[in-house]
Amino acid sequence: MSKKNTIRIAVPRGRILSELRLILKEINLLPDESLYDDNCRKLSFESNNSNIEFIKVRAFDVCTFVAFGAAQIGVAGSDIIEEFDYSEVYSPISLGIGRCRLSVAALKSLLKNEDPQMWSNIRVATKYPKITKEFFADKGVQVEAIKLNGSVELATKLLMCRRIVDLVSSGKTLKENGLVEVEKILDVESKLIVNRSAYKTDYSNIAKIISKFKKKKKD
Amino acid sequence: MNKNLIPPGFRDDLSPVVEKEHAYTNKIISIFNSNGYLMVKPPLIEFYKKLDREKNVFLISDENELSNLKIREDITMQVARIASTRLKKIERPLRLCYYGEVVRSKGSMLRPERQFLQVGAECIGEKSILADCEILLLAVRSLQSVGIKNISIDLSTPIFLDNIINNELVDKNKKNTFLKYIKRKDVVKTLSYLKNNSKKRLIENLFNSSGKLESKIKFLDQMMIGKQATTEINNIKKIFNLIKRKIGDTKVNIDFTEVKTNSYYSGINYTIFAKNIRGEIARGGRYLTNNEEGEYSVGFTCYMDTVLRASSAKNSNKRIIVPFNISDQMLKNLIKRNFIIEKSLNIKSLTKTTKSDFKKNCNYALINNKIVKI
Repeated sequence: MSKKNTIRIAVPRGRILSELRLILKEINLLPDESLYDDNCRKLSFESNNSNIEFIKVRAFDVCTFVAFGAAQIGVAGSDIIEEFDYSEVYSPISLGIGRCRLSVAALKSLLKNEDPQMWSNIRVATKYPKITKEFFADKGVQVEAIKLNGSVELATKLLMCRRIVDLVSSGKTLKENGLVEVEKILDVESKLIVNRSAYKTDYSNIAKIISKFKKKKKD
Repeated sequence: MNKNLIPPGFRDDLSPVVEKEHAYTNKIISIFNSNGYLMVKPPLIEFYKKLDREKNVFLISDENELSNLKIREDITMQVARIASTRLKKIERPLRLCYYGEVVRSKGSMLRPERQFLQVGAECIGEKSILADCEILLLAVRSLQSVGIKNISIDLSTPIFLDNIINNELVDKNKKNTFLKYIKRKDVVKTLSYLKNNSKKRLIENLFNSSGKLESKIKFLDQMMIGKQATTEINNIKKIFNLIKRKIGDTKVNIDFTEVKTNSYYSGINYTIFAKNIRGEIARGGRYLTNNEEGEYSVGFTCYMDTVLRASSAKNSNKRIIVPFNISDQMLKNLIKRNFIIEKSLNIKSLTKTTKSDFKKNCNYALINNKIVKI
């Protein structure tokens, strides 16, 4: 498929990609333009550096590709890094893009008549069952998680659960669906992630790429 | 439940993987033997102790036993026990080696296997860094002998991180999050957990010093503050100087931010990787035979499942069908030429194989005492 010494960088499809494009431009690491074309069905892309190629995967899957060493480097949100918490993934650098937060939200109309202190269990719909369970476990509340892959807001609106845990950026989606943010779990931003074994066995090449991104970040 | 299903993380291994594993294990053990390491065989089952609670240990309840039992999750400490009890009176350094299966209670998505074959060697009762060198060289040679290429050794020591954790982070929750960010090499997040400036500088140094050992001497020298740190870093440098000419193209990296949870390694320790291979191939280091006390020892263990994945060596795939009454002379000749021999059990083919004896998995046949490719 590719040369043995190629470094493969996994990038997420979707909204982060346009922000990432600016960073890649500044460090002069230019993937084939079709990477940014939403209609293009290609999944791997060459770049202006013959030793570096890009693959485009779902944002939720970047960490997994990197953890298994299919890509040596990736760009992933800290929410995903936290949710999977792979022992084989390093996340040395924040890229300063894709900023938002992971929060607990609830239906505004339900909030008035409840007392969360009395709860031993709570049903929560989320894409992040692990983070959610840990967050509520710290409060002594057992979570019954409903794992959804999108449109999470609907789950509480249609009374499948009392709470949802999801990314909040401007809060517009919540508002439009009659939800309010109850509590922030963590701040989210995109990070450069690195496969542990690649970092150890190909240190000089990997370190070069890391330092390029690092310099950019300081500017 | 389907009766053919086996529990997750366990497997029925087949040929040729099993032959390969067997051959590699033999090869590594024979290298240990010829370097003076004596074999020991500890049991599969041990008593379950309080300390096991935080480890990934497979617990077994036995109605006839007063206490709970476990399947061993590691062999090194079993060997250490043998050394400090049954072999207490034997002259030191005591060189022991072993192979055997270990079992974990849980697998992960990254490593679903719950049963592994470990092959390892321990040098017990020796403080000298020459023992570290011997073990490291033994590790590199063993792995090379089974076809592992592009080996990287990662040297580490827990003393710097222990110092910070024991003095700065008393709160257990904070400690765990701090370690999580160290593990991820997230410098900014890690620093946010520390108040003391000298500790912050130390952490920065720990991160800056990770990489190829030759190029990091400057950072290592800066970290030689206090007696313990100075000795440890001097030892690392000495070990490197003693082995560097003997390990060929093996790379040596340094990384003091490697966190080994539930580890008995108390001094210099190492992890071995190979290029383009997921996970660790082998791991080893300094420990005391009886946790906090006991004898100074050093050893290493190979994870054979990763070794098999990483090996570039190829199995012989010459398989020959021969008549049942093949001459001993011819048999020896074929074995010498690395053939795998399958005798025809067809009564009509006592002295001569014919086309009807050919089997799909044999790529050669012995016809009229001649080797014919099928």
